[in-house]
Amino acid sequence: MFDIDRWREIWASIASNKLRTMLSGLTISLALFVFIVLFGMGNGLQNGFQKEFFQAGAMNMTVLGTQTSESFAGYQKGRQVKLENRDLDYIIDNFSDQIKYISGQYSQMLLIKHGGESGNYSVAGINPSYFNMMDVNIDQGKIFGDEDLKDRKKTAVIGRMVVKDLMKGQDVIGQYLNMGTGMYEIVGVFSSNTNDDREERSIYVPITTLQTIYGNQDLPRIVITPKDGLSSAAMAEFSSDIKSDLKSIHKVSPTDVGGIRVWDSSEQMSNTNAFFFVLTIIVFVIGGGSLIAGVVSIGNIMVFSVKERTKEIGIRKALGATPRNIIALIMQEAITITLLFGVIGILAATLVVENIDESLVDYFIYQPGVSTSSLVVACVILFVAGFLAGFLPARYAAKIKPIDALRDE
Amino acid sequence: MIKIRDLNKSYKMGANSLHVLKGINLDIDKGEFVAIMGASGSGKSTLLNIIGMLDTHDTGLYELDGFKIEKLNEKKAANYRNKFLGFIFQSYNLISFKNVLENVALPLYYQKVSRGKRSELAMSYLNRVGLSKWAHHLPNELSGGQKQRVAIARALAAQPILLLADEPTGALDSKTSQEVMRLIQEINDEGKTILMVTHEDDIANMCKRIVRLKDGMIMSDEKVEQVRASGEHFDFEM
Repeated sequence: MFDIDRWREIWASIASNKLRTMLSGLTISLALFVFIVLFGMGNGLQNGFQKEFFQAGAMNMTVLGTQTSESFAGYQKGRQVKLENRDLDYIIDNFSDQIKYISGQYSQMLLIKHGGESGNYSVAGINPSYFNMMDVNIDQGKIFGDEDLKDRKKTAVIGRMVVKDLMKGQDVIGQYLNMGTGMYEIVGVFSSNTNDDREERSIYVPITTLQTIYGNQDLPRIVITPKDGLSSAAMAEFSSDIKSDLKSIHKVSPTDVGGIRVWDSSEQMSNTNAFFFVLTIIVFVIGGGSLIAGVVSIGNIMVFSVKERTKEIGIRKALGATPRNIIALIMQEAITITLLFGVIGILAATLVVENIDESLVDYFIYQPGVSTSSLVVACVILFVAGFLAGFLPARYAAKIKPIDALRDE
Repeated sequence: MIKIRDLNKSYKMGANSLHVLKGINLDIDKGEFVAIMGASGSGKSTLLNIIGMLDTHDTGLYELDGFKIEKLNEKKAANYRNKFLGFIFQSYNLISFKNVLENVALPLYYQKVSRGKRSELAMSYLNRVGLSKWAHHLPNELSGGQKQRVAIARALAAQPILLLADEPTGALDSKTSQEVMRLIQEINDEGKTILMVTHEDDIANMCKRIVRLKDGMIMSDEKVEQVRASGEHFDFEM
């Protein structure tokens, strides 16, 4: 395959028309540059979206009991389904493969008093793992542990704003808050990493403590963080499995739209994925369009080149060149030019895209990049492009009749 | 070597067709040196092109060295040209961006001769025409006569059985013409069969046989006393 004479001829042909070759080559470079940059930016946009909208907690699933809308198994419709501790245990026992964190949640607004100050705050009974699901930082003290749940201790982890509102910046750890149902010891203070005021005006206590005070096993909500890397399809399946299992436990009709609700973000995620799918198509259309322009341009110079070399091709044929020899010569030249300039475009674009990193994070573009596999695909496309650009001119050249070419003075 | 019987060729020119060759009969033996003469339009170039497989005939028989040349596809024609024929053109037809040695080696490239062997052979033929010193020059650095000698070396390089020359001295002054003709005569002396188209009587008389064409037919075909060219002999330079 390696034929030094043919490479010398290709070089001679390129060198005899440096400017023209450069200009057409640049269209190919530009096409690949545009394609790779757009593709990289698309990836960056996707990363940016994920960072912005799918932060901690956004993937969480929430399971709740609601009123039934169908009568089933002897029960009237309109019955309020109540989740209990055993439902939490059931989910933990049966779906541990899909769960990263899980917690019950029992929340209500309560009047909180401390010293002379008072106010209404959301108080939520939770399991300790709930703190992992929130995007919060423990500023002082610590969170309560499983021991506190077991002993049904009256301990509380409170938001930064609760301290600010009620306690005027005193050293709060170890102090007690009057929460209507009793005095709770403050063991920790948290702040929200996203500066969410509403979040920072919340108070968290062991869920068992609240259940004891209200004398039941009720669990109004179960919150689940799915395992990382679960696809939206797997998440949808996970949520419908939980729903149907809990429906059968609580004697709710499988077709009932009420009774058990599972809210998850998989639908939201698949919408976003659809958006990025469209974006990818747009990138391919634009990139593909400029690539076609580049191919046409290379094809164009090859046609010119062949026309100019008509006589030379005639001489070669008279000396014994077969049509195949001629085709190979022209094709190899087209493919060489395309690959050479294409690779320049790819390298330049990769350099640009990889150096953007986080500088465009304000525009939702975060760490754009192109995978090695898409670069390989780009190179394959280039090769095909060169092939297409060379094919028609080469066939034209192969059809040149030596007698016509030699007469052409 | 060449056997032509009742060869006809016409070109379509729009609605009418132009009958260029009208029943040519010609036999050429090995070692002959034949001039084909005729006014322009007499069909002499067409005949040469058909013999050179650059063009095809309509009817009749053409045999080259026992091979019947008929309806060749392009690849076969290319291979036959490469193996059997050497061409010398009026306008030299050297490839301008290749140096002299590469030009001479080109037919060998299409014979798939290895690079080293090719250079060696090309050099020996360049030596034969007295231009080995110019091997690495580009054609446009050479005079017309030198270019034609390079073209002759190229025609010889593939070791063809038949040399076809189309007005080889047409673009040369009379002194240079004599030199080139002397070279061609020497090649014929060594036994190579040569067929040459010319319209100059003095050049034709340097051949051994003259075939005159008029309006696509052979008017006369006679052996002549060869006039030796007066040009300088290009001695082997090594």
